Amino acid sequence: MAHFQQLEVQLKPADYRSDIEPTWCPGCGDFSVVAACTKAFSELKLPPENIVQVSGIGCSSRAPLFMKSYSVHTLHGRALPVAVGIKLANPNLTVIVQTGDGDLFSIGSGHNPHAARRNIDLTVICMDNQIYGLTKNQVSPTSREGLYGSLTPYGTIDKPLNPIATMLAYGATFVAQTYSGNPKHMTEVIKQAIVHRGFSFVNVLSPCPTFNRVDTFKYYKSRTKDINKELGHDPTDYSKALELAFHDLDHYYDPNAPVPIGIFFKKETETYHDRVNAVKARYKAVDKPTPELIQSFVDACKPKAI
Amino acid sequence: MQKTQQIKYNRAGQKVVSPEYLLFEAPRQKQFMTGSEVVKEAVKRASVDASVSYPITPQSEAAHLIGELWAEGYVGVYFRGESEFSVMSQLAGCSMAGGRAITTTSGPGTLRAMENFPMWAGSRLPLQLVLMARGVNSPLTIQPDNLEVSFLLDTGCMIWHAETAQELFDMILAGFVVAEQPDVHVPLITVIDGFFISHTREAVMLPPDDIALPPYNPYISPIPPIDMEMPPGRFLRDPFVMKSNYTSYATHASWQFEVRAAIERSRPYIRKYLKGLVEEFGDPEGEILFIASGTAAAQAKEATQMLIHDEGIKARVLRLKTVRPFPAKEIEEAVKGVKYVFIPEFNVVGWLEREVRNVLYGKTNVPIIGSPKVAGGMTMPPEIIVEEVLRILGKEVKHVP
Ligand SMILES: Cc1ncc(C[n+]2csc(CCOP(=O)(O)OP(=O)(O)O)c2C)c(N)n1
Ligand code: SF4
Ligand SMILES: [Mg+2]
Repeated sequence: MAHFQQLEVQLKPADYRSDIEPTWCPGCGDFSVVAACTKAFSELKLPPENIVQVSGIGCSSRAPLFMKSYSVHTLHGRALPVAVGIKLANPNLTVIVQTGDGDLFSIGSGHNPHAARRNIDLTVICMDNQIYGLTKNQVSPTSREGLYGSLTPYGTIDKPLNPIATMLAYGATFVAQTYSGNPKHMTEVIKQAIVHRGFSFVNVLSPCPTFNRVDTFKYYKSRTKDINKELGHDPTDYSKALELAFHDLDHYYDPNAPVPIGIFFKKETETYHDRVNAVKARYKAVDKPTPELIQSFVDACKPKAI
Repeated sequence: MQKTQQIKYNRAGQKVVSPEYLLFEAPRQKQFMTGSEVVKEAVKRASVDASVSYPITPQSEAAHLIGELWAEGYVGVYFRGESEFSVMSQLAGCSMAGGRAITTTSGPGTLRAMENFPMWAGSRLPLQLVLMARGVNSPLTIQPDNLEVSFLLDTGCMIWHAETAQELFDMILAGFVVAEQPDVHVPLITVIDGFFISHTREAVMLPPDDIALPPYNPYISPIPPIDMEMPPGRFLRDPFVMKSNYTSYATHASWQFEVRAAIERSRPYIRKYLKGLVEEFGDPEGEILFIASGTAAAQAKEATQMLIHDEGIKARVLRLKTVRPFPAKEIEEAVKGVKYVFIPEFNVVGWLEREVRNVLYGKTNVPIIGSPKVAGGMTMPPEIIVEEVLRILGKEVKHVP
């Protein structure tokens, strides 16, 4: 039995699509993410009513609107903490965060270390287009040096943040990278991320053809390399994963460096809820207290007769 | 004479002129531009040392244009923050280090940044935030709505509300002059209604761009901002304030009063540089009085003309240019002899109505009608204002189909 709920009869991917037509620009990488997610949901037989997709603000954060599941469009940067709240209150739900590089690594970055180190069983899908799309072209923390944005007149002079290495360092127990131009790979990675018990982070290289004219489908096409299949990377090895992650952005500086995709790290270890349950067991907590038990607490608090 | 006043040219090579010359005497030429472009023109003439930006609709364009000024050499430092929370903190740092600094934001960005505004005020930083008001969540909206001003009223910042792009231009320049007076020295939030002003074009009269305000002189600040020997730095350092005792309470309270008193002391400067805290419009005998600010005031002016010319009803407008300081005396004066006060607003809560009721409480029997109120991006055609007046007066509504 999987640790998440499953349907007896499989639904088709199209059954997970809502009747809202995407408002994304033609050619936007985010279309593939919706396709891969609905395919993954179908293959994992997830009951739509058991999925909650939480997003912040951005083009990418619109993804949940186009799918049939429960969903919340929160504030810019606040998808993760809202998702944490949902998972805390109802651990039986499959909770997925759909977010963007700006939403997750700029304004909302303060939440990442804490959700990751606590190993809360969530799946975070970051549509990384290295730009702010919705607000019409500003650089993001993942933008390569020199990329032009409307608030950086000479192009950004900042070093980009490395999403894979960052999330590994924070303690995420599943860290992967995939690419919108490879829907098969993306579906497989998203499936594994959902199945993984613990905090899963998937960085999706998802081009924005409207504003980012550098990191395009054409750019990635010949550069992506499957670290598991082509490089034989073993995702259970944390130090190897980190080492590989450090080279994630080499291609920004070296035209011959590959763009690594695949599962960098994966380790099933106790989740936040496992630890909560351990505390409960230690103190003999019960889920449904009886009136007698409650009365015993009340009595224990009464001042002792002298 | 202050040292800065002897400076002939600023960093950009513009000739430094007195605020009076720049605002009132310099020859002006007509231009046709959007509110966002006007922000650029004002900042260009304001000898600004630093600006920090973060995108949010509808202010991203103004933030972008300030970046262009940096590229052209008019602004000393231009930095991109990672959220409004960091932007307002970084801007505070720029001011504490002695610079004249300005930024722009809107709606959710304002709320994200909120914790900083009382800190700005308490640290007596004469920063300027140009706020292009938009709705705040939820539900998500990017449309014009000035509810966010309501949250800002008690932050200890001055709040001015421009009606037009022209006024925004003048307010940004006058704003630095007033905010930096040693006996004022508090932050200023210059508000316009987003989209209505930021994205529409109007004719504006601009002075030449080879003259500019005198640079900010941090040495005339009433408190050395990063000196731990003086308040409020000293308050933060000294253990006695961190304790729960009477001295600590009194210290905190007195400083809060002082910040508010500083805003009050801005009144004479505002009278000088904005030519008053209010503008009066319409029939001076008008028995229908609109009290309004920003775009709502512009609509009320149109409605006033329709009432006068089409309906034969004497009406007038008291337009507030400043909300902090609040023109209480001017309002008390204006309601004398009036039959009805109407307060049209672009938000659901009616923050201006609340403020007006507050200052008139117990001072008049004139009915105060907090309408029309529109929100979430709706427009307020003057016809609906006229209709509201006719309805309250029990007259036939023929104007509106
Ligand atoms: C507090 C706050 N500040 C700013 C914004 C404006 N805003 C909306 S989306 C966005 C950036 C989105 O970038 P990203 O997460 O990369 O999404 P993309 O559009 O690229 O998919 C910004 C700055 C906002 N909504 N709220
Ligand atoms: S602006 Fe870019 S990210 Fe947004 S929908 Fe268009 S292509 Fe996609
Ligand atoms: Mg993005």
